[in-house]
This record gives sequence, structure tokens and C-alpha cells, in this order.
Amino acid sequence: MNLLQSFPPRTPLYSIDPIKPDITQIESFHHYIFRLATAHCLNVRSFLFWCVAKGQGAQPLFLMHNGHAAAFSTQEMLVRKLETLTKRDNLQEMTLIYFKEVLKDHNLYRAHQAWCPICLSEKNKPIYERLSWTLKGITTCIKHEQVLAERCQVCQKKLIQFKIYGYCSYCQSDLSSIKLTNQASLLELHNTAELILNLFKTPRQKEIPVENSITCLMDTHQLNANSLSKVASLSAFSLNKKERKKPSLDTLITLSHYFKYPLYKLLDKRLI
Amino acid sequence: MVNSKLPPTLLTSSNDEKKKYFENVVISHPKLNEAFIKAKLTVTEHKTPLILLYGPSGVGKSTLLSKLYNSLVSDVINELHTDYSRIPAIFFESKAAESIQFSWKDYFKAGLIKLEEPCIDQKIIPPHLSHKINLNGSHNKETTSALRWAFESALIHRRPLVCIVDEAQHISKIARGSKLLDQMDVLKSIANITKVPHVLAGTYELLKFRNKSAQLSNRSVDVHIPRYRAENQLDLQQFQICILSLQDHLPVHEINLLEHWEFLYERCIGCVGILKLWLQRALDMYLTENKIEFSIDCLEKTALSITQCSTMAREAREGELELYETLEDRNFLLNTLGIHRVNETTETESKSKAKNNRTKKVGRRNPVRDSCNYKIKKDENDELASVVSPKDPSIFH
Repeated sequence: MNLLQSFPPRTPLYSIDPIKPDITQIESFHHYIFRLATAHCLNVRSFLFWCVAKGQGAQPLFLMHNGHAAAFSTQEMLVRKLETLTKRDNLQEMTLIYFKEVLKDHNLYRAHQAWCPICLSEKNKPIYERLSWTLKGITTCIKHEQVLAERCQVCQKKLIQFKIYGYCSYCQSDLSSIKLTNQASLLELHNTAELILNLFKTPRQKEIPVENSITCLMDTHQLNANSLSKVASLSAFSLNKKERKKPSLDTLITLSHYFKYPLYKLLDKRLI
Repeated sequence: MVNSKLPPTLLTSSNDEKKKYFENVVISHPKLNEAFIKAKLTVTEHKTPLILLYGPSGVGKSTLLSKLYNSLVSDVINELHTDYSRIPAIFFESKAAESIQFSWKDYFKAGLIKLEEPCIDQKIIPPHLSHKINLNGSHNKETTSALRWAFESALIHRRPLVCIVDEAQHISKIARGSKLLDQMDVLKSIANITKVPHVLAGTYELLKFRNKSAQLSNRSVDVHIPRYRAENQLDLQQFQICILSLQDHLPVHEINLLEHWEFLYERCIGCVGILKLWLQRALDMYLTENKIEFSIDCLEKTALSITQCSTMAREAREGELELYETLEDRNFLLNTLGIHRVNETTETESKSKAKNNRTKKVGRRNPVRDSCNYKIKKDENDELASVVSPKDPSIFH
């Protein structure tokens, strides 16, 4: 065989775009991994092990099936690996890693799947898991004003991993069945809208400062951690800056309601 | 006399360098150029799903494929600096099966390697499709099917301009003749789904494929690289030019190959690829044995045997004959289409001939099967008896 012309090295993985009709409807990182693994005709587990081993040799790492429920550190590691392997720079958008310095990852994501059956039944639109559905604080679909479903309507089981997205992994029934839809209350819709507005729509600057704005808030209102915990009905432990603990999303929401301060300002000190 | 086309320092360099230089020489000749232009146009402009590229063994098919590959890669090389996922083209050789049947598994694996696919041994059928495929519980079928899905998906995502398969005649190695059509349908279906044209290069055995299926004939384009034929004066002239072109690149002091063109033609049956390999062997001998001149002696000792040449010539001839269309073939086509213009005269002629040649005697029965049912026969006889009353014996009384 004669000499064949060489070309620059190619990415080991397909460079697939995340599904993003608008920022509030962006695909979850978990679903992106599932889609990428399926495109390569691999199951998610072997695909992730290959991705992790590709960088710096095999790592003894426990990878959870429900990738979105992983800690920020695991998510960050996977985002970095996949960004290198696909030569993309926008995979972080599908996570909340941006807030990793000011937000506790514990109880941030759901441990099980949630979905809006009407969104899944929409014709001529891609069926995928939204990032917003993976957050514990979001309980409704603003578009269809529905409470998100968390159990299969047929077998009543909670679903962890995807086998075929849009179908129950236990009984294979269609999750887009809209027989038992549940209208969301106004309060639930308001809370969801507020969270989406603050977490997704706020401008993301390069790096968020490590120090959260609670300290700034305490200084402005001349309150210490104990007094603030009393007035806002929060545990003093969660506000103690000496512990250097990051507040949970619930704590920040409570404070934002109490001081009538937008949540995004509490997340990023520079915006105050 | 030293060839002016040789690099000036080559004649003083080592034997290995001389050999390597001649090995890498590619001469472009009219038949190759013609086939290259047609193949490239079919791939880039017409986007035909299947391109069958055939010719006798040693005519320069692999050289043409390399040229096509390099040309297509050059066309998109700038785009590759921004699109890091795209693979411009893939080129692999289909393996000859060690068993009685061609192995699709090996074929897809070879393709997936060229498409830089990870974890080839762990491929699965995508879960949303697995329930639609009936594999009858066969693990082997499941693996092959998974590899096929992976190959198709890789072609869709990597978007190569073309998938070039050399030695594609190996695909025709199957247990049953009826399966030949299925083999080709697989490739046609992959090409249709992925929208990636497939160039299948091989010997004249490839024609078996094309002639098997109507749909395939419709969806495929033939590119024929013929050898230089002695019957054609122009071909002979072009062949002599090829000899001169190769001679120009031979790193030897004095030589005139054109003197022996008949012998050269005889032992390479008009195929430039065979000629180049032969000259390569002769050069190797000349350099290793430190001969004074590159003479006919070197060529004779390294030439292919007469039996080998006869076999190759016979195969090439058979292939060429398969491409040759006779008047009978045309008549058959017109007949199939219902246009009797050509056949009408022959039919009437044959009818009149049949009438004239009638040798049967008058009054002789046509060969017809007689009824053997006893009851019917008896009834018939009774009826006949009542009708033929004059023959009744009572009349005579």
C-alpha cells in the first residue's frame, strides 16, 4: 500500500452538542453521558470506566450509575475528562459545578429520576432529561404547570438509571403517559421559577469567589451567626463561618426570603 | 547515460535508499488517471452509495485507491483544524475469511479501528433498538449486529467523505450462492443509512455482485481500470510510455527497456502494477549481486513464470469478456422489455421455418394424453353408439 496522507489527531469521542433549546431547558450531564455512550454503542458503565482510564491510567473510582447525583468533585473530574476527549468547552453548563465553592452538593440533586410526562410526550421534539429536573428544589415543570413525576405510573417504582430514556427500567412502560398528570400549585410554580431564574439565568462570570456572601450579609445587618440563625430560623452550625462549611441551597433560599435578597446575589458576592 | 529525472545524489547513495526510492515511485498513466477522475467525481459530486472499482490483479487498483484517499483528505484538510471529530476518509482492506464464509465481524472491526472507535470488543446494540432485532438468541449474531450498529453510528458521527474497501472480492466468499445478494444488500444498506459512499475495489469477481441485484445495479457506479491491450494500437503506445516513465526512475546507469517491450508486455500482461513490481525485483537483484549493467538477464531471472502469466491473462480475459456486451444480450433485454422490434423478424422466420420443416404425415394423431377413467369412457362409448345409429346392426335387417 502506498503512503497515505496523515491529518491532525482526531478526538477519541464524538463531539456531540448538548441539547439546549434555551438555558432553562438544558440537558442534564447524566443524560449527555448516556447519549454519548449510546452513540458509541457502549453501556454507560464501561464507557465511563474507559473515559476515566484514558487520562492517567486506571483509577480505583466508584462511579455511580446516576451520574447527576454524584458529588461536585466526581462531576468536575468527568466534565474535564469528557471536555478533553471531545474537545468541547461547554459541558460544564450541564451541571452546577459553577457554584461548587459557594454551595453544598449534599442534597442538591435528586437521587432518583423526575420528569414531566407532557414534556416527554411532545412530538417532534427530542426526549431528554433536563438539568432542572435533577435538582431537588425543583418540583414542577413551568412550561406545562405540572408536578414532576417521580414514580413509574405502572409499577410505582422510583427509577435510578436509564436503560431507554422515557421508559421505566423495571417494567418498560412509557413514562410519557399523561393519564395521571398532577396540576402544580401556584406556590410550587413560584418557587421553581425563582430557582430557575437564579440558578440558570444569572450571568456566569469566569470564577465565582470562594467566600460566600453570607458573611457580607451579616456585616451589612450587623448580625453574628447565632443571631442570624435565630432570626432566620436556621441552625447556627450551618452559618458558622469558622467551620468553613458551604451553605446548602435550602439555607440560601431561606435567607433570600428573609432578607428579600435575590438568591443569585447570595450565591455570588460580586453581585451584591 | 544517466537519467536526468533521478535525484542527483541517488546514484551515489546506498542500495537500500535506491530500492526505497524506486519502491515509492508512483507513475500516473492514462488508464489510472481516467479511472481516478471518474471515481472522484462519483464520490464528491454524484454521491453514489456504492462504487465498484474493478480490474485485473496488478493493474494499479491499490495505487488508485491511495491516490483517491489522499486527494479527498487534501480537500478537507483545512476543515479538520476546526472540526476535531471528523475523520476525512477511511481506507481498509477486507480480510480473506479463514472459514468457508466471509466474516462481517472482522470487516466491521477493521472499519471501526480506522474510525478510531474506543472499546471495540465491548460494543452493544443500543438499548432502544435491541428489542426490534430478532437474533434468535445467537450470541454470534448479537456481536455482529452490535458491531454493525457501532460502525453505522461511527460513520454518521465521524462523517468521512468515503469508505474505501480494498480486496472487496473477499466479501463474495460465502457458503451459499443465494446469500450473495444478502452480502451486497448489507453494504448498500449501510451506505444508504449513513450517506457515506462506499468504494469497493477488487478483481472482476466483483461483477458477480452487481449482476445479482436490480437495485444494486441502479445504485452503483462501475469504475473499470483495464489493462493495456495488445490488440489496441493506442494501448500499446501508452504502455510503451509507461515503460519509459518507469525507466526514468530506475536508479541504474545505462538502460533501454523499450528494446524489450514485447517481453515486458508478455510477462506483465499489460498491467503496470505487475510491471513495476517486476522492475523492483530486477533492481533488487541488480543491486544485491553488484552487476555491471541492468540487462535483460536481470529481467528474465525475475520475471513471472509463463504459467503464472497464463493464469493471470486467462482471468483478465474472462473478466473482460464478462463486460463485453453482445448483440444477443441486447436482444434479450429488448425482449424482456417487450420491444419485439429486433426479435419479431427472427420469430416469424423461425415460425415459417418450422412450417416448412413439417415432417409429420397427414392423418397422424397429435400426441395427446387420453382419458383413462373407465366410467366416463363407457358413457362416451354409449353416446357414440346411440349417435351412430346407421351402424346399428338392426338397420341391416
